[in-house]
Amino acid sequence: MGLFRYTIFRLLQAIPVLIGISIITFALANLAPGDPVRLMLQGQEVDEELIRTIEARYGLDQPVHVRYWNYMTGLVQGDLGYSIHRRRPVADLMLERAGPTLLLVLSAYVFALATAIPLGVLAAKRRNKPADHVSRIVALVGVSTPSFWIGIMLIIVFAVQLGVLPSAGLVYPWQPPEAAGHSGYIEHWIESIRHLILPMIALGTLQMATLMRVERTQMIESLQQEYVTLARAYGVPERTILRKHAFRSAQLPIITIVGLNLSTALGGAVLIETVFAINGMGRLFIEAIQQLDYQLVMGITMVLGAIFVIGVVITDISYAYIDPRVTYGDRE
Amino acid sequence: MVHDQFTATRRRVLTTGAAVSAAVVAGCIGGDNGTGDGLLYTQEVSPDGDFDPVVAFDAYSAQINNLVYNGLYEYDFDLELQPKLAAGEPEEERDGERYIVELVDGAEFHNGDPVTAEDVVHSLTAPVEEETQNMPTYQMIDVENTEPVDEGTVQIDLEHPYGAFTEIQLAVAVVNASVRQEDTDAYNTDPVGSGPFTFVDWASDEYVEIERWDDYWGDPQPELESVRFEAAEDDAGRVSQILAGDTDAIATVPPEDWDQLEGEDGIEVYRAESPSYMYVAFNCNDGGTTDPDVRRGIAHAFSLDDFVEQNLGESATALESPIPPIVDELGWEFPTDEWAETSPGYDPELAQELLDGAAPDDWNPTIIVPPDDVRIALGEQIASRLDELGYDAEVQSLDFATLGETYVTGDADDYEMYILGWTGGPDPDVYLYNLFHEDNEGIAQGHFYEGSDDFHDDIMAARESVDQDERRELYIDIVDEIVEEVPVIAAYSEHNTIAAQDYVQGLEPHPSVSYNPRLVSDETTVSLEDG
Amino acid sequence: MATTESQLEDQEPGAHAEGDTADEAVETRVGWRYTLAKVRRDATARIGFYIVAIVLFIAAFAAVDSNLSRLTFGAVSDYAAAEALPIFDHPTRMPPPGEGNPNQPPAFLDGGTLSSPLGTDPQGRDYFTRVIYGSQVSVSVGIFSTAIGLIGGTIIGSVAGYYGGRIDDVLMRAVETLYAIPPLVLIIVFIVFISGGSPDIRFAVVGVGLTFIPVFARIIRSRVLSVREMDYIEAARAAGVKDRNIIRRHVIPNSFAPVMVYATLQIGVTILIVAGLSFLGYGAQPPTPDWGEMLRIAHGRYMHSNIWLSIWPGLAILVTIMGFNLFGDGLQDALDPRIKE
Repeated sequence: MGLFRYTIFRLLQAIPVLIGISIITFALANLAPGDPVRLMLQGQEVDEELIRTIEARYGLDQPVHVRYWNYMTGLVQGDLGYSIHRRRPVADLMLERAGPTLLLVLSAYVFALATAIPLGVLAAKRRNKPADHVSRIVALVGVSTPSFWIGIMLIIVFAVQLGVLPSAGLVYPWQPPEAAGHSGYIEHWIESIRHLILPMIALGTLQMATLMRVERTQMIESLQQEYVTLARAYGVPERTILRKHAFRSAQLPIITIVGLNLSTALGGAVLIETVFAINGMGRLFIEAIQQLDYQLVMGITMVLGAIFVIGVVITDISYAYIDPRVTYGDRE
Repeated sequence: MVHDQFTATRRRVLTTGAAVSAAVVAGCIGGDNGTGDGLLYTQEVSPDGDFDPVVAFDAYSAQINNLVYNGLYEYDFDLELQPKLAAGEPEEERDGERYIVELVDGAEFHNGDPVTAEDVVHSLTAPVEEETQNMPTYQMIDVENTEPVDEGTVQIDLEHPYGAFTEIQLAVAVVNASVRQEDTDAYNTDPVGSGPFTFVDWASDEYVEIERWDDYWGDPQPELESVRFEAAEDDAGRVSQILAGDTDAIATVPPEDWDQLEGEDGIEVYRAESPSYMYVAFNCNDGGTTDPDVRRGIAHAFSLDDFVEQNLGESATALESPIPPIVDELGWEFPTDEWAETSPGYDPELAQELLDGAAPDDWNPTIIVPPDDVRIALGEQIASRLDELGYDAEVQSLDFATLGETYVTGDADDYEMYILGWTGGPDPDVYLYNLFHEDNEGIAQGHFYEGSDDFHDDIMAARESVDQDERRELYIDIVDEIVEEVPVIAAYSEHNTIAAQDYVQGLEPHPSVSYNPRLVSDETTVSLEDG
Repeated sequence: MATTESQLEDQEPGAHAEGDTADEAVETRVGWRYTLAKVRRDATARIGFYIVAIVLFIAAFAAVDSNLSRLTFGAVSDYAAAEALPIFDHPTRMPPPGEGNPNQPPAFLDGGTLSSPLGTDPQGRDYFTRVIYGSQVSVSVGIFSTAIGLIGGTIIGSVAGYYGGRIDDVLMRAVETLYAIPPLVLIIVFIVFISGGSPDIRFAVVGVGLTFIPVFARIIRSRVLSVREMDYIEAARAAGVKDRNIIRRHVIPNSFAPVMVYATLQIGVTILIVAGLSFLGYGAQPPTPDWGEMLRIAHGRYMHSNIWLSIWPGLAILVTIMGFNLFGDGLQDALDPRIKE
């Protein structure tokens, strides 16, 4: 199988998972007690006829399997449903709110990779020396600390005590400066970065710690490979070995884990957006849950699942692209 | 025609109070810092985005609307009604079933249309005709016979006399009838008012921008060039922003941070009493709390004054009756001191005696509260005290949506106590009718208090009378009974607070949330000091 | 081998690839004692073990409750906590009017006292007792929901691994699907929709447990796949032993070691998630002193006026989870010497 066919194959493979996610979200929302129409009307005294009209308008009077079918066919056409509570299509809300979340998650990954890889390599190179111990302690603390607490601590130090960085909100670099009340692009982008620093670190620390552990283990393993020993025996400088031979193969698992950890990162975004008052999908999810806005909850769950699935497909493909050994495995 | 907080349906109860929080959104924070003549005002909640007063139902949309529209009458800083588009006092005819209002000359909408009697009539009748969420407020208006007498005179007919009519309904914001009727949906986000500011732009959950209308017909003229509203739900977030200079003013200063902000150089804090009313209600329909002695026992078990002082400090006052002091001060002169004496105070021994005598065996009451930390703490306080007396109370904090379904069931398995709030208008009727009358059982009140034979009749009689002396006597009887039988414990009234950078001049919190920030009025006009 | 599934297994500590020989499984079973001996020699694992032991001891001690002898989750009042902790004789209930000393700073600052080493909260409750008592919620939730995941995962994983074929396909596909939704989001949806909007720590326990069934199912399955092919299983099958008995007597015990390692690490993860749930308001409900819930209030109301309230519960979470991670890592190293330090 060529790379192109492998890509198609992986995309097709993702479809059953996406269908599965839609079944889970639909099932959970329909298990829920309470009637969305009555919730929407907030207990105002209304006659049954009005309720039935509204139910018919949103297709809520149909049997479950018909409703699921409608939901599915809607999804295929990019229709995520209609938030009765907010009187807006869910897809519109998603488009509005996905930007901040993706910005946050991507920058957290940039932070994590930029710190984890050098530290992991260093630790592997200086195995059992002080640098290694320090990096292992950092990794241990990183995987053991709740991200939202890191966020709170960062706010207390940098926003409350020192007052050097903002504690809430994001400034979106893709918006015109006027929308954020800024006078020019320079100010606008500087503000964007200033707002991003603390949430990025808070969300990225767990990823950094995980990746650092993997990087270290992989580097140690690949430094023990036969071809590395062989290269050493031939007198190839240690630096070249590290860079050319050991490093490259050690990065492959990192790519995989970046993809698989997307799920944790998106979940973490819910907490970080809460701590930093960021108007992303995570906050929207909490609001939707508080308002028992079923359609919106289903839509967000679906989109988060889809982002994960697409992320994994992308990492799989780049894995196959980078690692020549991969035969685009025909599954057993 | 929202009177923001002054409407009387159930959602109002739920979206009221300090931590409207739950259902709410925090906004992105820009970084204006007092350069130029724009004001950046950061509050707790973003508006729902209804800038048509006929439809608007949330206080935060109403805040914008009160700057973009003028009212027929408007509340001053004492919550007294002052004519704005009206030329003077309304004339009452037919024993309170008809009111005649003259309009001022020269009032204009942003598009140049004159403000006419037709517009006022439309503003008053549209909520009823279109059955918007504001309908309950205007329900007593006789739509057929409310009509313009001439260009500058309005005749308003009522289905029945309503004692609070002038105080509540005449503060209606006046819409441009012809523009609105042309395209009602578009009007909601492209409003044409006659107020000192024009609507510029908004983004859902992000910001609202308005700018000065240079040709404002009224007096005094607005000074601020523009105003931008953003939201930060998080108390700590708003405080950080004002401390960091990221915003010019914040609404609702968290009580814990009042002292710090007050002591900060360059920041001023302001406070005004408001018609807010927080209360603990008992389930009088089912369970242990149907016995008045149990209710009295609970009331004696904890100290409200102590709680308010510890948790709300400068930001609230403990209450003695369901009528907030600011309403009383409009001239009612209720016997508040007497009520304070009769109300059950902190007395653990008496509480033990009453509860041991009256509480059922294995009595484990449930207290339901909204997801608001202060009210959760009040629930915990009550539970802790009952715990000491040997009763195991459970506090359940519910989402607003769930709470709304739960607190009106009347079922002791759901709740024996609930803690909610209500921010009403400047008349006792909005508190006593909505929160005590049997009409509202299962809608706005879930205590189902039956009361004495006359209790509900008295509330209705006071509602439908225009004889203010008669109303006063009736209300005194009603509140006497409430204080005696304790279907609810009146808890506290929260103040409206604002913190602002000191270069913001003339900013004063208005008692009504939806009038904040009050930027242009006879009493004070807000401006930014050059700096 | 570039499928998602095989890569997932790479991540799982203690899980072996399908190709592992049967001998290794036997070795792990025999080697429990050997493993423990190794853990004892490993300094970091020992530290982890002590932390876990201390936290468990505190949690168990705090749970002995003179008023409520049953193990309660939702409505444990602070008053009960005070009586349960005779050595920390501080009232954590809200003190009666006129008593208590709200907002007292920690002992090492001016105005602090040794009787309230971490100070008091704005309601006048001793913060040390609340933090200590918080261990009870965290640890019991961690253990209970991990147990749910473990039991559910063992059943699903062993059935899938043993029978293979279509059952395996369907189960593993379902598991993969559950993987795709962020656990925190899935759990909140579950809690809110199942509880009808009145969240409670019991729903959180079940929700977290269910969400982690897939993880355990995967590990068990891969173990079972390797055990299945072993000679004595073939022999047992040939001798007509029932499938159910084969799974129970041979397959599961042989797969247990890596799962226990994973469970230890998973308790840490669970505590982290429950803290997040409580922080968002979907875990423990006030007045239950829970670390996440305490952080929620500290962040929401007192971040400017009293920063200490935000610090202590976070440190408690950090230390507890670090203990489980160190101990779990030590176990794993001992069991799987491929990468020995």
